[in-house]
Amino acid sequence: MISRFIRWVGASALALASLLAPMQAGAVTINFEGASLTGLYFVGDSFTQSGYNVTASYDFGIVDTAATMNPAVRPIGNSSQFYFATNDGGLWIESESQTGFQLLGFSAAFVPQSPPSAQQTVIVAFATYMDNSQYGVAWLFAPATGGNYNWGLYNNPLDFAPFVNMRYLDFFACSYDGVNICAQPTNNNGQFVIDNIHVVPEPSALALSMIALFGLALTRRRTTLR
Amino acid sequence: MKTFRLSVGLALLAFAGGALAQAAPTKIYIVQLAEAPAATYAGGIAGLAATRPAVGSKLDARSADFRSYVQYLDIKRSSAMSAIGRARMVHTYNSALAGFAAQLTEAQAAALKRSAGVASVVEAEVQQLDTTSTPSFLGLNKPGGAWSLLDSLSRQVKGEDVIIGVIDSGVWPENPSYGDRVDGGGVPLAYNQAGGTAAYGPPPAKWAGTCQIGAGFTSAMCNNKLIGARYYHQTFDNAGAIRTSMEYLSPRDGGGHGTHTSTTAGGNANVPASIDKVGVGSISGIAPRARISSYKVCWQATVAAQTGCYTSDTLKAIDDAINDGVDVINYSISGTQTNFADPVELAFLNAASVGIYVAASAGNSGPGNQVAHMSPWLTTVAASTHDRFTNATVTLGSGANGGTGPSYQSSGVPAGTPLIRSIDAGVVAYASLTQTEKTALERCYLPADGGTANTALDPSKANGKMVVCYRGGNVLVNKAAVVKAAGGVAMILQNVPAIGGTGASGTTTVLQPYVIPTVHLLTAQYAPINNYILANLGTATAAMSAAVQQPNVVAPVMASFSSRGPNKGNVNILKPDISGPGVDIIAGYLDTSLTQAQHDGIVIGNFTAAANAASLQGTSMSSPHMAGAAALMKQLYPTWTPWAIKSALMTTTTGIKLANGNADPDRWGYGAGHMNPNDATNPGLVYDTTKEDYGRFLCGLSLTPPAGVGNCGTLGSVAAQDLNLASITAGAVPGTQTLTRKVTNVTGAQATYNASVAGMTGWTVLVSPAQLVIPAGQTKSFTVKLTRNGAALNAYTFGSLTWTHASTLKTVVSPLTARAIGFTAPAQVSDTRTSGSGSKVFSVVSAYTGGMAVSPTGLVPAVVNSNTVATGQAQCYNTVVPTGALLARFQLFNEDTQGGAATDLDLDVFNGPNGTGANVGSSGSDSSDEIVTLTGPAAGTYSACVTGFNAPGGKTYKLSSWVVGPTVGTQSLRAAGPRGVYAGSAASVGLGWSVPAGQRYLGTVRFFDDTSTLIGTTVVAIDNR
Repeated sequence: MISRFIRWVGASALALASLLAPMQAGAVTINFEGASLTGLYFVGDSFTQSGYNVTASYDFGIVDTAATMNPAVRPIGNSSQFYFATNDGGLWIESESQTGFQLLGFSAAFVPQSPPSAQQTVIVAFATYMDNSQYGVAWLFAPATGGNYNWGLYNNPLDFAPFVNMRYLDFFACSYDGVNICAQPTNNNGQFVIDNIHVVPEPSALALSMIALFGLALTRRRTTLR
Repeated sequence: MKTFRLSVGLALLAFAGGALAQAAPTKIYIVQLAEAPAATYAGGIAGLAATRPAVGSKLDARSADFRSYVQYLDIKRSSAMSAIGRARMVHTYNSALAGFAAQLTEAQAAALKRSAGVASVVEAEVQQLDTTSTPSFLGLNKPGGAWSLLDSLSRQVKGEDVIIGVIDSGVWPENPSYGDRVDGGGVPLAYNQAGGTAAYGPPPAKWAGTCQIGAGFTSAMCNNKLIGARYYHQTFDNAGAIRTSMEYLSPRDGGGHGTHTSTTAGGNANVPASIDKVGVGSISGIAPRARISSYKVCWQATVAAQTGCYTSDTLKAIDDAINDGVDVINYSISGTQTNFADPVELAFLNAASVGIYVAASAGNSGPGNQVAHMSPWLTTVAASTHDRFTNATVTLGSGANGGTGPSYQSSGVPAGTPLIRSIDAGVVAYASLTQTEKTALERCYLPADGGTANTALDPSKANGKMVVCYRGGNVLVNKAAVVKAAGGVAMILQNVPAIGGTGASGTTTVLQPYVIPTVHLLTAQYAPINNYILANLGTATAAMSAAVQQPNVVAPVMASFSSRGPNKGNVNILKPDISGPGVDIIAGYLDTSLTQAQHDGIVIGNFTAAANAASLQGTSMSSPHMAGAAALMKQLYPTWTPWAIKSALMTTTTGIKLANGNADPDRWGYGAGHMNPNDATNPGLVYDTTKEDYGRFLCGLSLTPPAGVGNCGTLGSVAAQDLNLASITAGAVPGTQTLTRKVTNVTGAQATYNASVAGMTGWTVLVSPAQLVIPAGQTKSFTVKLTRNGAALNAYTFGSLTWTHASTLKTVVSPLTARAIGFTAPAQVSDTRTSGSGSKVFSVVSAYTGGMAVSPTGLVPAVVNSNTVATGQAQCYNTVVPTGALLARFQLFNEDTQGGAATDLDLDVFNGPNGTGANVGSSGSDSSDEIVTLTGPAAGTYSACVTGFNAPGGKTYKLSSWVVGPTVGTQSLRAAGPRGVYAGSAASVGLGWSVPAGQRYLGTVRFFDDTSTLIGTTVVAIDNR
């Protein structure tokens, strides 16, 4: 698995939101807002937001605000709803239309267990392309204040340039011993929260969508005219 | 027409009167604003500069910035009050808390709670006072002791220019312990004793306090030793309490307790003391050169239950103490055992945040697990014995030794003093008395003990004599009072065998003060003395020596009354912290001989009281010993935090003994050990903390730190076991646990220390790194990994971690405490969000590696029964529990009860209908928050009975009941566990639910291991109203 991580990227966690890359046409943000999304997701449970299916992978997940968490480990800096991937879990994203998409950035924070693991933990974005080839990048989590980790913003365009034309996108946490990534099991110490996942349909998929929308609008216009 | 108008007027008056009669009752509430107190305000508000003092500096309550910030708080207070209509503000708090105390109706209090600018509203409570030679016992006056050290200004370390604030029952100013002059022999003189020379300069520049005058207390009673005195009575008065006729509406002590504690902490040295006019030698405070400021908050009331100290008055005293510039606070008053967010506890955190060391009494509810003041930012002091035990010897006129026994008297009774038995000194001949009367005469009964005119001593026979009274039947001190009343000059308190129709007395002897010189003799001395008197009737004489110290006294030994740990607020915080002398402590007291007329004379200024002393015991007495020791440390290290001082005191303790002289193994009695201030002056390393650390600690417990300490969003949190205390405590170790600490080298040179662990039987303890090389003034971190290696589950193991200096061999000893658990899950998780759907994540920790299954049951809405109950009434409600039920709970809430916490309802549950069957659970707090939970109840009809313990006039209430289980069909509560669990590691468990909003729900989650064995249960309480 380690061989699949072809790049190691340092944290851009403290970058300001204003540094976000300009939003591309058709880009959406999976922000986990909405009372209908709030709740517990067993492994394999899915929900859909903004045209993307999100599935709890490997371990259960929660969509809620920080009020759902033990204050001792609540990440600092986000009062909205987010996805909490617990224990060794993660989440898996695909376009509802099964078409390719790009990843522009996301926010995330580590959620330690007590006692915390002795090893460092990183967050991994792992792409499966339309041709089923794969690619992954790992980032250090933003540092903690006391026992509570800060939210970090991951949006460096250079980091995300390879995340195009994806069929699936996985997020999960892994160990990092200073050299190797995912060399050790996290033993339930791979928890993280994630929010504001910026994705955009591939241009080809976007074009198809626009054609479809145009066709729909035309149909409605004709209906109106009659 | 006139008549008509008059009629209307009367009708209106009647209506108004009726309305007044119906007016909602008010109580005193403590309101905390969502603002930082001046003690911790760090700036940030436009136009208002920071008022928080720099490290090592005092809060300047006279500064323009302080006044500006108080004006800002005034506006906030007015804003909060304006939203609730007419109400009276009783106190304002600016430094201990940002807030006020006000007389409010329940509705007004509830409205304030909802106000955006208000952090909390709690009702004021009444708290109780917790009721020499100890400087020598502590070694302070020995060569090389703390008193012989010199500070940076070459002054002896006796508390010079350190201000001790004592929050208690006031002061008795006639005691020379408070004098600022000395006579030619260096003996302190009280304000009312003429002459002498000044022993103190003006108060330190940091002092900003005042001397408040009142009944029997004039400004002349304050001086350069007793530099401040205030009193606080508003809440006491509002509670309807009435001061006894012997109280004083002033800083003058009405109970004696405050005089005792303040003179123990900082009273002058070399003060001759008498207990009820019997000399007991000289007494001294622990920091005899400290200045004292007294804050009287405790009052003697005509109704015993109202005697005490009200928290809203106490908070104002803390507020003033901070502003006045005190360095140390002693608080020998009861307090919470569980609530870190208690307003008084938080006020002490704010006080400590500006450098004030706070010592508090652990409580006198021992040997039970009732330790009070369990917050980590203050020092909680237990009580133990000291080694003063004095004996006197009786020499008979024949020259024979009459025996030696406990005695306090500092001067002897001369040879030739006539000796007489009480039975030979009665007004009626002994032989003609009834047996009951004989017993009364033998035992020297007061009328209150059953003495009569026939059994009284005849002054013509007893005057000027040493009288033998037999032990038994009444309070020992009463016997001496009988002898004194008859003119006797001394007493032999004699243990006796059965004599005639009078039974044998007790066989032990007791050291305590009496109103005349007394020696207590064993039964073996009865016959020799009795035979001597019989052989010399009318001419027998005796002498009594001055009392002398007995050698080889086993001390310190824990006092049985001293409240024990573990900490009921959090098992990972060691409490009590430390022990100090608290048994048989002689210190200043009020004049107990006063008549009402003399009292009244003091009030109007035409009578001058006398000084007095008393021997008291309690953690009230040990706490001021710690306050005094902290004052010595403050003088020596003025820039140290109170927490560094606490660390120094805790890592240098000596051992506590059992009565047989062996080491006492039960750390819950004494925490780190017995205070040893001499060694504390040179601790080598300290475990220091900041106010932010305590903020993180509170955040980790889901509590809100005081504004000014910080907010959880920016502070983060720290697990209780990782708070950087000198005590290392792991109360729930799931196989293995690693704790972190850091130590600071407070010496002027780099030092190398090596770690060693002792006493942790059944544990493997790994300290990493095992050696610390720490440059001067630097801090190094280390971890302590605890791994269970045979230790019994759920039992505490006590040991120690010692850092030993590589060359000097100086040791820094931390108490190390651990308890192993097999599997731990929270007893209950709660959610109070108002939405019907929600989720919760919590941690469980296992001691094994493998699989774990979770099984949710519920959520079940509460069945609510509403009714009205009056004092003494009981009302029962039946509940059917089906087969397979997992849990039944019955609960009352203050918020559902008319009168709230002031109404006292109790709850009993029976396993039969209508209050029949066996009582299977009861809850009897002093409020209406009551809960009874039955785990795995057998099927049947149960009844929950609500009793009005204090519900005058009848109070409405709601009883909520739930039966959870059996688990049949789809449950509204869902739960997900981890794919696996790992020994010693935590794992997350998730809950989700979707139920109608507006109710209280209950459910459970059960945990099973690989063998499907139930290993734990967590109750889920959802309140989405």
